[in-house]
This record gives sequence, C-alpha cells and structure tokens, in this order.
Amino acid sequence: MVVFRPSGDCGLTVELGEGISRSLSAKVLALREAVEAHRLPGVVETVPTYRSLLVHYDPLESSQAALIDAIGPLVEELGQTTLQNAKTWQFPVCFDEDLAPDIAEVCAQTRLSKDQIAEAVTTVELVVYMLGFAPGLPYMGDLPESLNIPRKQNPSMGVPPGAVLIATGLSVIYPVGNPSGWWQIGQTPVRLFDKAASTPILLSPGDVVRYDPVDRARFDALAKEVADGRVWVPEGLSDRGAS
Amino acid sequence: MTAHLVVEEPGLMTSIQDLGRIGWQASGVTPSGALDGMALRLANALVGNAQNIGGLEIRMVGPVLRVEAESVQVALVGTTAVLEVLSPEAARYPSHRTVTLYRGDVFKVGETPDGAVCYLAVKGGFGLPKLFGSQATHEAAALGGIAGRGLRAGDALPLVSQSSGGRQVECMIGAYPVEADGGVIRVVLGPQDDHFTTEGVETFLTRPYTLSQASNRMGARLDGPKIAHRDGFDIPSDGIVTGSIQVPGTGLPIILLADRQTTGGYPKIATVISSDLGKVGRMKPGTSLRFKALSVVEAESARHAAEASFDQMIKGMSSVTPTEKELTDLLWKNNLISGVVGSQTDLAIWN
Repeated sequence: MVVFRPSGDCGLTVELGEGISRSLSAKVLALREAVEAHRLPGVVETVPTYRSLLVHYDPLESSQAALIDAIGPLVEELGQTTLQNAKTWQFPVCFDEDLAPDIAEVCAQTRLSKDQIAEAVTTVELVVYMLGFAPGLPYMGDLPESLNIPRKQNPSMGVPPGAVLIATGLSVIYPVGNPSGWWQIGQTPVRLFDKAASTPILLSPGDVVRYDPVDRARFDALAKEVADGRVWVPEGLSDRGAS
Repeated sequence: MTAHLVVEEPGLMTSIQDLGRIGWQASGVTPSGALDGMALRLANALVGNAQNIGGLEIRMVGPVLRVEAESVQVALVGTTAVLEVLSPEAARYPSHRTVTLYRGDVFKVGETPDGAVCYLAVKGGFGLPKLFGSQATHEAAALGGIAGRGLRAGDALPLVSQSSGGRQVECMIGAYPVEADGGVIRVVLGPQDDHFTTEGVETFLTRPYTLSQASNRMGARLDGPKIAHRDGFDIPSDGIVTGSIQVPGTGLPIILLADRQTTGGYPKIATVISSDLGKVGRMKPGTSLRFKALSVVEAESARHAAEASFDQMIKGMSSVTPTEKELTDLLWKNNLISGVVGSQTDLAIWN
C-alpha cells in the first residue's frame, strides 16, 4: 500500500502503511535508501518517520507529479532489504534513583519493581525508528508491553542531557536538556549531539541500540571522560573502550 | 585590524539568518533561516553578496549598530522604514538600496510599521562559524548566530570584509511589495486533511483567522473558528515542512515556520505554498488572513512566477542616481573619508 500525500509545493509525503512497527519502519528506511541512491532530480532531502517518508523537493528543479512517477516504481520494488549503513550501539545506562526521577511513578503504573524495569529495558534490542524533536534525538522501540505507559500529563522541565526516558512503548535519549513529557528511568553519559565533533549526530534511523546497565562509579568515570572532551563512542557490542 | 558591527541596542529580536540548514532534517536538525527568504536574497544582491549569505533579521523594532571597520556596505529590504545614521553626522537613507557607512557611524533601523520582519544585509557577510552549513540562529537548540541566540547589546559581529572596497557601487531596487494586511494566504490541502470533518475543512477555507500574539519564528498561531477533527488529534509523528499547518487539540491552526521541529504528531490540514511563506513571516500579530486552496500544480506554478518576478527585480537593479546622492552629499563624504583614514593596511586589504 502506498499513499502519496502533498505537503505543499516543496514536500511529498509517501505513506507506506498504518501504525508503528519494525517491518513498516524497515520499508520506509529501504525506500529512503532507494530514493537517495537514484539521486532523483530536485530531491533536497528525505525524512523517514514511523510509516512515511517525507521527500523535500525544489519545485524549480522537479515537480510532485514527476516525483510520484519516479517513486511509485521504487515502492513496488521494495523487498526485504537490510540496511547498508545501520550500526549497533551499546549505551551504558545508570539506573540509580537520582538519575531516575520518575522511577517511583513508573513502578506504580507498571506494577514492576525498579530492578524489573531496568532488566526489561536492558534485555531488549531497540531500533531507531526516527530522529526528531531536537538535533540527534532518537525514537526507539519496541519496549515490552509491560512498559507501555502513556506520556505525562504535565511535562517536566529541565530534563538533563543523556536522560533515558520511556513512554508509549518507546524510549528516547535526550541529546541536550529540554522539557519532556516522557518518564526518566535512567541516564547515559554518552552525548548524542556534540556540535564540536566530526560526526555531530551519533545515531541514524535504522540503527540498533542496547542499554548496558552500569553502576554509579562507572557512570561517573565515563561522564568525566565526556566532560573532559574525550570522545567516547559506544559503537559495537564488544567495543566499549575509550578512544 | 578587526572589522565589526557593534550592537549598541539589539532591537526587539534581531538574529542572524541565512537561507537555513539543508540536509539534516532526518537527524532532527531544524532548518531555521530567514522567515522572508526573498527579502534577504534581495538585500544580499544589493550589497553584491551570494543570496544565501547570513544577514540580520529584524523583528518589528530594529537595532542600533556602530561601524568598527574602514567602511561597510549594507542594504535594508522588506520595510519602508529608513536606515538612520545618528552620528557623527545625521543622515537618513531609504530602504531597498545600498548604503555605504564608515568607521564610527552609529546607525539604526527604527520601528518597521509595515511588517514583522525585514533584513539588513552586510557586504561580505559575518565572519561567524557555520554549523550544518549555515549561520542561521536557532534559539531552541542554541545553534548558529552569536552563541545560538539573538543579538544583545555589546555583541561585536565580526565582518568578513574590512572595507567595502575602493569604489563603492550603490544600487537600488523597486519597492519590495509589503502588504499592510495579510490578505489571502494560498495553501495546498493535506497531507492529513482527511483527519478533519468536511465542515472543519470548510471552516478553515472560508472563515477569517487572526495572527495571535503568541506567534514567533517557530510558528504563526492563529485565532479564529475552531476546526473539528474527525477522530482524535494524535497521529504517528511524521515529517513537517516549513508552512505545514497543524491543528492540535485546541482546534486552532498553527502555521509552522522556519524554527519548527522536523517531525510532529498533530494532523496537518494544509501547507502554505512556498511563494506565500514570506508573506506569513511578515505578518504582525493582529493581522487578519484567509486561506485559499490551490492544486499542487498551481502552487508549483506560483513558485515559478515568484522566482520570475524576483529575477525581474534583480535585473531592474540600478545604480543610485546622483540626485539621491545629493541628499547626503555622499560623494564628497567618500573622498574625505578615504583621504583621512586611508592607510597602508587598508590598501593592502583592498588589494
């Protein structure tokens, strides 16, 4: 199923299905790769989300009709693609209570203990569905159904960089401090957005993320390395060394 | 010797903007950039810059600036307000032309009665770092500009050019069309117009709306009749373009502007066509407007027409006539200044 929806005269939304699922996300990301690989004239950039790909285009270089003609066949050809550039990351996360200000409320809502929640989020493999809201902020899923809780009624102010939050069956990590309607259950010392780094945005759509539980001493040590400006990239399941 | 424009008074909200960050939206990076890109492009043309060079976006009340450079050429576009030199020698220059200013000149752009934004381009642009290919200020993410924020008193904006060069060509363009009233804003329905009732879409297309005081560079919030959703107002987040009109639970539309987020979870009833975005950016709070639906093809044609009239304005750019120069006796001033402060250093830079 494909629905082309106009987003004005500079945008074309290509919708590939309903809801949020890994298989649908994989299709969206595969379509993105195909569109980028074909270097269609007039395409400025593409933005993948849960169920659609937004194609930003320049109407002076192309037209929506021409893009629909070109993208339609690409959708038909989509197979079970594996993403070429997807990476696997392991993020150290500390679940100490002062780094998890919402843990009591999450325990109450899910009827799980602190330890059960930490175990639930560290045993699943999360996929980066999309980035949005702020530079480098990943929306990742899926969490176990037991952790599927709604967002807060009233957003919290001043959520710190590195906050690990959950809501609606998904998890996010905050690249910079921001208000949030999600529940903070832990914190990672890793920076997802660093203006000064050669790769300022760490994650890409389609990447796989695991949360690796660390104790407070390890968290503090890594946080100090990050604060000292040492780039610490948690790429790969086995590679955890400082670089 | 360093060349700067020093901010004596920042104005209401003055920020450095170019044509924005392109190519990083999939990473959550907002494009930002000028609300009225056409006006910035014209201002840049008047000082001989490439069109995407960062200039000052001035919001309703302009800044007071001091020239700390041999000389600098500037151009104000998008308002009928004048550029006023306060000292050492008072002078007033109309907008839409090149103005050459000299070391020590203190000048201001006062209130802009006719629109919410106008642009001051500076020959050579500002010597500030680019982030994701752009100097555009995005306050929410603290990117670009000066420390990711609008101007403050005391800021020194580094100039790329030490001087405007030996011979200063000054140009002018015809008046840039600035409406007192928002009038009609043209849109293309979708991508989620099917999330609204038939009556809701009809309300949107036939009733007047007013720009709310709560509007900013992120979005133009509108007051007016509520638009009814068909079933709920949550959708799985999808991509946003500049000009997307989202309708949250309040039923009141918000036109998302340059500082918008890249994705969002409210249904979007329509999208402002790209050639009317500048008009939305120029609207002041309290302005009344109506929406009119176009097809995609009509919207694309409108963009071609807007670019054609832009090209006409650039072609019609003419040298400032002697009569106008007489107003301030600029030629005499040029010679005098060059004679007094022309030095080896400055000559070296000119060459």
